[in-house]
Amino acid sequence: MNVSEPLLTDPIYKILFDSIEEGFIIVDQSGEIILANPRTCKLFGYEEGDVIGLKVEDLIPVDLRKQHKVIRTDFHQSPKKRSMGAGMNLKALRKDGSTFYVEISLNPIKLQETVFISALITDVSERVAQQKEIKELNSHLEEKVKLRTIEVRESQELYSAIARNFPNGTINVFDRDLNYIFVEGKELFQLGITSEKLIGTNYLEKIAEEIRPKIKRALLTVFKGEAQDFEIEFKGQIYRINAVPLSYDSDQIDRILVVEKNITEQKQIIIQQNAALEKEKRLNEMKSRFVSMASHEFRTPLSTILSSTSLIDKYIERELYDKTGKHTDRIKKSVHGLTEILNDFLSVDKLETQITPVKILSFNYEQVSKDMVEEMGTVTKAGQIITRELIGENFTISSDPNIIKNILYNLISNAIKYSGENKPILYRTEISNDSLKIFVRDKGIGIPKQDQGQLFTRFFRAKNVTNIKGTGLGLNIVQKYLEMLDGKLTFESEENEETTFYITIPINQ
Amino acid sequence: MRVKILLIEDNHEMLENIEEILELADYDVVTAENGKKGVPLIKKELPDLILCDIMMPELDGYGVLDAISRDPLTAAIPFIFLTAKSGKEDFRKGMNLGADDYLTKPFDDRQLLDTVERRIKKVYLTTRQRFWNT
Repeated sequence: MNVSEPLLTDPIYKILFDSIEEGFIIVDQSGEIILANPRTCKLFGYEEGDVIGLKVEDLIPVDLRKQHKVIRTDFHQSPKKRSMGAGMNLKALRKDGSTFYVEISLNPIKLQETVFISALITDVSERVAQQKEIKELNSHLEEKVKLRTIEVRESQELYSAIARNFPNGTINVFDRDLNYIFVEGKELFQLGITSEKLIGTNYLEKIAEEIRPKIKRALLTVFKGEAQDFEIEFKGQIYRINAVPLSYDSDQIDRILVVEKNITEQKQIIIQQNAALEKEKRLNEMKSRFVSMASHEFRTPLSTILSSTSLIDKYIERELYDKTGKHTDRIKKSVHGLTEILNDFLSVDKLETQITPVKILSFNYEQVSKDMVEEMGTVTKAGQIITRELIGENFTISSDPNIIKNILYNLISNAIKYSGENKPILYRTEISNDSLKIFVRDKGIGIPKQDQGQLFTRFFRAKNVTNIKGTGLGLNIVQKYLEMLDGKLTFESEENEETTFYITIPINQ
Repeated sequence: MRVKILLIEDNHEMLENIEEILELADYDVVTAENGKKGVPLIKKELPDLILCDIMMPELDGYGVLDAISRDPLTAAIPFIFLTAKSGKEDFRKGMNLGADDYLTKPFDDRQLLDTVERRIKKVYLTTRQRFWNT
């Protein structure tokens, strides 16, 4: 209308008015559009010029019109430069009813004493769409972050649960001073220690003083990048320590991971297995010793029996009956010898299973020792003399006389067997209030040093007696008997010189 | 001429039994109760055959065989081990040392006499052959 016409007559204004990318309108006090540039028409989908005469509210969606009218009226009363829609997604209405987002700058202008409002309209649909997209992206990202946070928390919980439930040991992280940074594991719980209590304390303080330097040295080498794997003993428990450097991004290792695993049980199993294996080995050795011993000890009397029966046949054939008596005696003697060997085996077995009960009686030891020397005197070699010495005040003692006789029989017959003709044998006894001490000494072949350790092993025979008959059971039996009486057996021997067996038995007088 | 056998055995009963079996079969028998006493006796008696136990105190059967093998006068005398050892190793050891035969205990009179006869016969045959060859 006439108000604006002077403006548009100016060619510069006209160019600006026609070419700017924003819509430009001027509205009068009643809200009527009195001027609009071509861009406005295009934005709102009207034919050029059709916008003129419309109310501003015609360009606003129906639901916002009433409110706008109020705001517009207020604005008109106290007009000032302002912008609308910035950051608030202001909607505008096209002729076809569709909407789009705008940003509007308002400017009051005074023309011929009348106040008009000019509005610069920018289509921000694209920007809003972008913002919306960004917002959506952002919210998506936030969602992701939330999810990730949950995942991280879960995996942290998982890790600490793994560490906390690490069986039979602990998982530790130490700093350069070997202070606890992290510690978890089932053993802590079992020992009633909380990880909080340990964190910050020094690992070495937990360890027995004597092995501290070794552990410290080992763990400090881990900080040089060398993993360590060793075992330590602590309060009767055996631990396997596995230490590896914990490296992050930097080259410097300032933390190490130490896994402490209690392997006491496994160790015990290994020990048991080894013991079983050892036992198996010993049994095997015993078996082969038994076979070689039995071969010899059985074959000799069997030979005598077989040759004596042959001779009996021959004498009967020749009717030399008086010559057969000697051979029947020989057969009997050999059978007795075999029975004795068998009894040795059986007594070992009995002693092993502890069937033989100990019968403690009060008896006269002096009589027992006299009888023993007399009995053994019949089997001595030529010139072998058994000297009996008895020291003490009271020779009536309380013990098992049969066991003591068996022990004496074994030791004295050994002395006879393993010493030569004309060699003396000393059998000495000292009786005190609470003990019976016996020693039997011969001047015989002695026991080689390398065989002394195995002397009480069943069927074991020293290297220097392979040509002397024997089962390798005697000393084993003596030892078993002494165990029954809580007694002790020791010996001293010098090869080709002498051998002395010492016995101590606790007694009650 | 009667054949003379020297017997070394530390078990007294076995020594007597073997001696009796051999005497009943008309052999002359000289005995020793261990290797230490046996070696000088072999040198003195120069028997036609030696029967010797392996496991003996003082000097065992291997020692006896070794000792007589070193003396040219006794080295050729047929030598039979009597033993309670039945392992193959022991058998091989005895044979490697130059024993002519090996009797494992327990043996009866037949086994003993067969072994002794076989050995004497072989010696007799070889000697006769040598005689005709010269």
